[in-house]
Amino acid sequence: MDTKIAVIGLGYVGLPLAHAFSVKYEVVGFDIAQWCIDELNSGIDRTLELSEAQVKESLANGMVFTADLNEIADYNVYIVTVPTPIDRSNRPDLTPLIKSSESVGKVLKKDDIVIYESTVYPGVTEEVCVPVLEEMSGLKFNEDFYCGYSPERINPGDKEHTVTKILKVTAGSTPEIATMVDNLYKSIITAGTHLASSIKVAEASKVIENTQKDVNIALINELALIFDTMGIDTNEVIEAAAPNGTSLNSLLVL
Amino acid sequence: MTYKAQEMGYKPNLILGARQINNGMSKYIAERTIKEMITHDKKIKGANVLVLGLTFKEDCPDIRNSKVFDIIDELGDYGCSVDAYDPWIDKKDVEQQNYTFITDPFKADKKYDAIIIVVGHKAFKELKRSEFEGVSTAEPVLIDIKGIVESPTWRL
Repeated sequence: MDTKIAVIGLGYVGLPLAHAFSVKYEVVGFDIAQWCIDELNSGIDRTLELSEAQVKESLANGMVFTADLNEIADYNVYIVTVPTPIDRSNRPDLTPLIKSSESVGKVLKKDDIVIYESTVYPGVTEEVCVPVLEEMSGLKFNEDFYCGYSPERINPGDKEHTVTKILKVTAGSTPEIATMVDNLYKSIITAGTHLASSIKVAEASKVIENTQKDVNIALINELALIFDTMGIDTNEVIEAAAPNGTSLNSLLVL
Repeated sequence: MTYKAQEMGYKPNLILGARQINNGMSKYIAERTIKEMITHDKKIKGANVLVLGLTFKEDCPDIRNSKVFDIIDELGDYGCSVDAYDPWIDKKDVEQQNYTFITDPFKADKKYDAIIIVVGHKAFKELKRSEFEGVSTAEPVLIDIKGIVESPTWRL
């Protein structure tokens, strides 16, 4: 059967991904915000990740943008790219993930694959999303439908390292599905893929990336606070410590 | 993940510590700004402060997880009146929030008691010190978080 892809959520992550897939596959892009769909249909990507030419290229490739769930019912691979914001007490807000899983669950059919790209703590795909999919669809996980996980690694505003040029970690809920998911991404990601041994491993791999960034930034921030009380200019310290140009960007990212 | 870890009975001290330091930076910057304003004889209550940059990093329109709003809140608590400007932001994207977003202040007449450069957008890097002085009241207080302007009042 032909792979037909529905991308759920057309923001920083979903739209570039949908555009990349549209070159080789039949793709539909779904978002709950009708204004977002209207803008995309006129060639405008508000996140500025895609140029007007690229949005129009997606349309020319046959991609459809829609806010109507019925229009994604006929697809067999669902890729969920909704955000997972963190509240002030560091608790992840899983509402977008749960809501989009409900939507996908309503159109889920036998042998479909649902791939999540949202950043989550290990276990969310199988322990939070899968039960929602099962309940809404009445289908059984790993018998009737399958899941995959491939963490998004989009760096907003970076026009050089775009989605196909960043190595993609992949995983699936069974060994066969894992290979299928890996092959799917491999067909468009020129930087290659890394097939992780499980969905949890893939989820954790993204958490490491974010945590490492947090800790690196915190280290520089703390040093900056110390130097400030000593009357030392941190910019000058960093220039001296990294004469070969280790990025100053790591200095305080708000 | 820190939330999940604690649920499982492990307290991730290093990661939480990092988060706490990063979250505390906004308050530190606001306090440092206030101190510099006092040093320069500015009246704090009702002072006009200009915050330049709202995105979480330079040259993109992404305001998710941006801590700039915490700086504005903190200054608001001191009684300052804060205008925020970011050439990358569409006013429509932020209008539902309770902040004052303005169009290019360098083309307007309003003068500010303090200016805080929070994001290193290319458009800001191209500005000369004299241009910052042009939108400032006498004795400019120029707080430069990104190290992009020459001889600021204070930089981190």
